[in-house]
Amino acid sequence: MIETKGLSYRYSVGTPFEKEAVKEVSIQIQTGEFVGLIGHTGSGKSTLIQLLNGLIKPTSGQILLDGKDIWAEPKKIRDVRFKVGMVFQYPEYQLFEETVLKDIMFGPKNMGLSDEEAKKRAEEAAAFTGLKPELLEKSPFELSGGEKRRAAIAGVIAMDPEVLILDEPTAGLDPRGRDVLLTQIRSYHQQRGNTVLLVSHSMEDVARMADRILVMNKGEAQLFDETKKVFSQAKSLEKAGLRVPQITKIMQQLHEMGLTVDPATLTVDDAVRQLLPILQQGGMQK
Amino acid sequence: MMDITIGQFFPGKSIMHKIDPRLKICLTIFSIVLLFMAQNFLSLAVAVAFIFIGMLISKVPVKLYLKSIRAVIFIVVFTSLLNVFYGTGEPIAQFWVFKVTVNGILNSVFISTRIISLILASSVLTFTTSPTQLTDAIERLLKPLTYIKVPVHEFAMIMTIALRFVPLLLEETDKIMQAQKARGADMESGGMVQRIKAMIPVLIPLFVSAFRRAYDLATAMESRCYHGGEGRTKMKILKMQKSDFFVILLVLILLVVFLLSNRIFPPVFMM
Amino acid sequence: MAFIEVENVHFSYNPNEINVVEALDGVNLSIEQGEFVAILGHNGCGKSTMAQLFNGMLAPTAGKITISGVLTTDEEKQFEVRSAVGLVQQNPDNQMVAGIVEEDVAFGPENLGVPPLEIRQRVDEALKTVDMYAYRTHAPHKLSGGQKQRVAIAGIIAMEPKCIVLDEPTAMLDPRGRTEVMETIQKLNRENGITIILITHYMDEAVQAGRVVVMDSGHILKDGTPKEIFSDVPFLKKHDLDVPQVTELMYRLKGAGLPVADMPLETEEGLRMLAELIQ
Repeated sequence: MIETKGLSYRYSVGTPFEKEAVKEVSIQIQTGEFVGLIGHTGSGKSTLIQLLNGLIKPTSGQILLDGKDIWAEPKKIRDVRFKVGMVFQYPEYQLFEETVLKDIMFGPKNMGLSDEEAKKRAEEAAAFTGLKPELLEKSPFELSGGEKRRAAIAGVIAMDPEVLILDEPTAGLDPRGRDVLLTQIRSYHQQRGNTVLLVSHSMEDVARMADRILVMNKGEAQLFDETKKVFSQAKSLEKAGLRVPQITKIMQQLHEMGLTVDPATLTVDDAVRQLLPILQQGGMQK
Repeated sequence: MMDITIGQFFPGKSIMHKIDPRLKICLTIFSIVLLFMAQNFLSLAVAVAFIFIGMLISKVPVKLYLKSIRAVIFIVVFTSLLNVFYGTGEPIAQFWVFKVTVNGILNSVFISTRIISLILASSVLTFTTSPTQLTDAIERLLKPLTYIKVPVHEFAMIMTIALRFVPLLLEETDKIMQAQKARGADMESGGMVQRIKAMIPVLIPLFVSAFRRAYDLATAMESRCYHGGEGRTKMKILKMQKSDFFVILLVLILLVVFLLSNRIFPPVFMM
Repeated sequence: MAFIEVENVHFSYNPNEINVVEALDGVNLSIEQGEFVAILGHNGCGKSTMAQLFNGMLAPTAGKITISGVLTTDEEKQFEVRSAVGLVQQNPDNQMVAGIVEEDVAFGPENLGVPPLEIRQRVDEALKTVDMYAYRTHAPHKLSGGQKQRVAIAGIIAMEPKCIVLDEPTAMLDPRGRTEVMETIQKLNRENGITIILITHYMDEAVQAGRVVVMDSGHILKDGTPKEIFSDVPFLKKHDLDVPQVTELMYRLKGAGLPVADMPLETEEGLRMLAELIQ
């Protein structure tokens, strides 16, 4: 379980650029949860995730990983980064080794694992992200954009973190690449049963994937609730500069028109299931 | 890391900021020449006063000037110590092989004033002139060199691009370092060799990305019809103002005062 | 002859090797002055190659492209072609040259040898058009992604082009930046009559165009109005392209036997059709 207590972070303290990026955030994420993190640029979501894996130190407040303050022993902060894995935006920019396999092994080897163990982990991670085995011996710079992205994600998964944070993993991918990657992430989450935190600008993607959603606005945790409940609060989302998925908007309007449908419908499948009986009944009555 | 600014431009609206950048470069060179031509304390004082006036009307906080001196303080201390012990004439104090003479002390005061003033003079220039103005002015001042086939425009373009991309690459270095740290890279501990090794995961991605950027930039420049300096015009034309000529007049008067004071007293500095 | 004519264009990055990989495989396309065309397709479908062919940055391996009758490969008219067809790239950071917004916008006209006073006018006007005039003395790296991309667009407008080709201009932007850029593009097309060729893989951006060209593996699959393209749900699914949720909903309802005549592309339209079905 990962928990924050009154977590705050200020940038450039003591200069005219001082800014409070994260304010008094207190949240609890249970083991095995799939949490979506949304908020527009400058809402503090990037700072929050960097705090969660100890890349930056909070100005005040605590981050508890399994009940222990991650900054209790600053010298052991690297261990926290192995437990809370972080995939940055455009992670393909971090690839550097001669081969894809060696690159994925970088994290596990930093953990002090033997070559054999690291290799085993790397191969498993590559399989999780759907990277074909024959690509592993290639140079990472020969891969296509989508493949590079997967190799970079595999590099973090190979550390087998308890919590996996993904910052906009689908940014810049085409619809095909995006769908494949999201499917892989979901099956990774189901098989490993660990915690996943997905940061995304796409409401449709988050609606489809997450159990719970954290909405950040102006550095504060504005909402943190089940996905359906969050998307049923269209007004609150608009205040944070966000919107609901198109299908949710349609179902909300139909609900307002007096139809007995769920105003927090998140997928087209679900909408069809609800609408068909109503519409067919109407047809028969005519 | 994020807040590094290139050059030390301090935006403002003082007279110093408004002087034509070409003239400002010439004035800076002029004041440095004066510093080196000064032979006695009076003429040195005239040169220093000239630089002080520049500092005063630049309206840049004194704190910033002090900061720029701090960077060279080691050199100043070192050279003045050397000078103290290498003077000529009667020693006023002596220990072991070191002799301190009046001439040595004077020499060391003279030379440290020179170095500090030199830094101050160039600071006045960089504090009050934006990097773009500076590049532009240098390109125009050096323009005659194109006749002897010096690629002045190309150098200026390289400088412009460097100024534009250095902050970007710094930011990128920061991002890559964060990403590698998240994968457990240890960049803070270990010996020299280990630390250099630890930089590889940062440097390689940085180079790859720099090449990508260079490729994109070349495409962008070419598709915006860039074809070198030939036939190129400039939006901003540098034109000397009335006030600029006024400055030149003042400087000429100063030069006369300086030359006179150089003659009145015999030189102090001999080496 | 149309404003832009693409005639049987082939392109390969390795034309002299044995295993020639064709990025474009016989493309034909004509675009009229003032059109807003979206070229939609996955990465690697050849759409970015198209972008650089339009202004002669790349030359076709076979076939030809003309802009107002001028061949893009005509060396003597290179600047004419490049100032008529401006190119905006994906990464806004990598296409800015100068360290100050207005000086970057001036870069193109300066290269063309436009007199200084006129450059000033063009720059001010271009910055006003993209709504970035207030930022003219700022440094580009302090701007948001959407603002940077608008400055890049201003840099093209200042060259007074007839057409702007945008190669995935929003791929690296956040939703706000994407909206800003799309609004700017719309405005340029409607108010200034500039021909727009928008290369994208975002369905919701292609919907805003007047015409959509779908590409895959180097050739054109389909060419039509957004309505024609996006109501063909089986086609979109077959090529893994996104279908607007409202379109998919109506398509599924139709599939279940409900009397749905037309396919909606927008929320309001869909709601209207649903309301009719209920009554």
